[in-house]
Amino acid sequence: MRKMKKDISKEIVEKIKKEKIKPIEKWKINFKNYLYWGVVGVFILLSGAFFSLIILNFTGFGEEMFGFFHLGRFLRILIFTAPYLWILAFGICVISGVFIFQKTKTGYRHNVLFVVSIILIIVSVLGVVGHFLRMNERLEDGLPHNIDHRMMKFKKEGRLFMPEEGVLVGKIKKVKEGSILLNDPKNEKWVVLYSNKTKTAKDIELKEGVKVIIFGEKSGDHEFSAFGIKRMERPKRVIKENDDMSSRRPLKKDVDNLERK
Amino acid sequence: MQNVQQDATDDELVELSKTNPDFFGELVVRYENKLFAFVRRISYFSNEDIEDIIQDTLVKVYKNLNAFDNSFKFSTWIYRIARNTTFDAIRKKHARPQSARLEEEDCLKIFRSSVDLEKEMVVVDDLEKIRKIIDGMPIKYKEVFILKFIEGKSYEEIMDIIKKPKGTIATLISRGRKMIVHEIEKKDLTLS
Repeated sequence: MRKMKKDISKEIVEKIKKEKIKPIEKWKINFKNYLYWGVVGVFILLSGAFFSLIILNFTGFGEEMFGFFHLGRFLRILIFTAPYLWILAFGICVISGVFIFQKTKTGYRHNVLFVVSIILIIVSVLGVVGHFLRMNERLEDGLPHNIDHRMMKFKKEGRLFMPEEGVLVGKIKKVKEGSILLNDPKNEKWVVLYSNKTKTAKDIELKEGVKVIIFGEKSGDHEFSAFGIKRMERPKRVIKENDDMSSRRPLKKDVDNLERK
Repeated sequence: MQNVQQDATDDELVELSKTNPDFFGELVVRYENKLFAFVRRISYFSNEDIEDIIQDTLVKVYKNLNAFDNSFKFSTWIYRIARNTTFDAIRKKHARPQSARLEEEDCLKIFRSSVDLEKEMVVVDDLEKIRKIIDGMPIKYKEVFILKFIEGKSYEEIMDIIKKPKGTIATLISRGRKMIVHEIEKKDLTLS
């Protein structure tokens, strides 16, 4: 084995002393690693949020849609209405999360497939939890309401609006015997015809202001025949008037009121 | 102090070096020649250039002593820094590391470890051909072969040195072996 010609140990020690080189502080070195972990965490949370938005999109139809259309049209509607922006954002966040994870101190030790699987499991759990806690609805509500119609595809109602394919969405303006007057996401009026054969979801009350998804067929200019009517949003949680509040933790203002008395 | 330095483990010397650079001298003595040989094997640089790389490596090691994690072996950690410093130097010179030339003895070590000589019935007297086969391998395979068969590192150590998962190391070794066997057949080193 060839050896070094010069005695480097003395040289190095002298250099360290002469240039007053000091080991970099531990917190500075660890900071980078913590930063990577923080970024991984952010990407996982974002992926979870996008996943819950994707769930929200696909659960918007409900299984009843199967009954109204044949498989070909059903699949076409699913493909047309898929939230591609959220899917893309989800993919980017997962890939970025995996990439940054590998930059962490021991991230390289794990197989990429293993890391991807673990991240997907965590993200799926977060997405499902977010869905049940209705965080996805709040997120989507957070998007601007007066959105330009070209940007409507980013919102669920914009994606679902496909009267030619048999899906109409909008807000009920008026309910008459046998017909509903509806405002679509572009704020155009539609007359929706229904009969006692039309299947209406149990949790829906047809009244002004309710957002609905209607499955059926376009029967004329701005006229639609309904096979089925479904709520677009899940009903909001309502606190019953006679709710027993004794088990509720007292709020600060309750305590303050009590003290004042 | 001389005795303390010689008896201390690498981990102990790391701790002592943080406050007293003289202890770092002992670590340098322990590794300078090993690192010199390693850098020589993975690069084509002259001895003077390699000495500069080693010096850079050791200064980096000293500066980053607080980054050393006891769950790694110190030798693994210092090899990783030496490898990265060497590849940085290669990049700076805009040259490809494939031109690195191994000693005959090293080539034979890799060759013998890669090929089942009895099974393959290889004539190993044509050293120049063998050398060409080993030197012709892409650096990513050659580097792993050097660490495994010349430096005698374990899969875990190689994983920590080149920062690749264990499965990838195993794949690189397996593919590299196939490459060598294929070249043996091509260069007619096998007796039929």
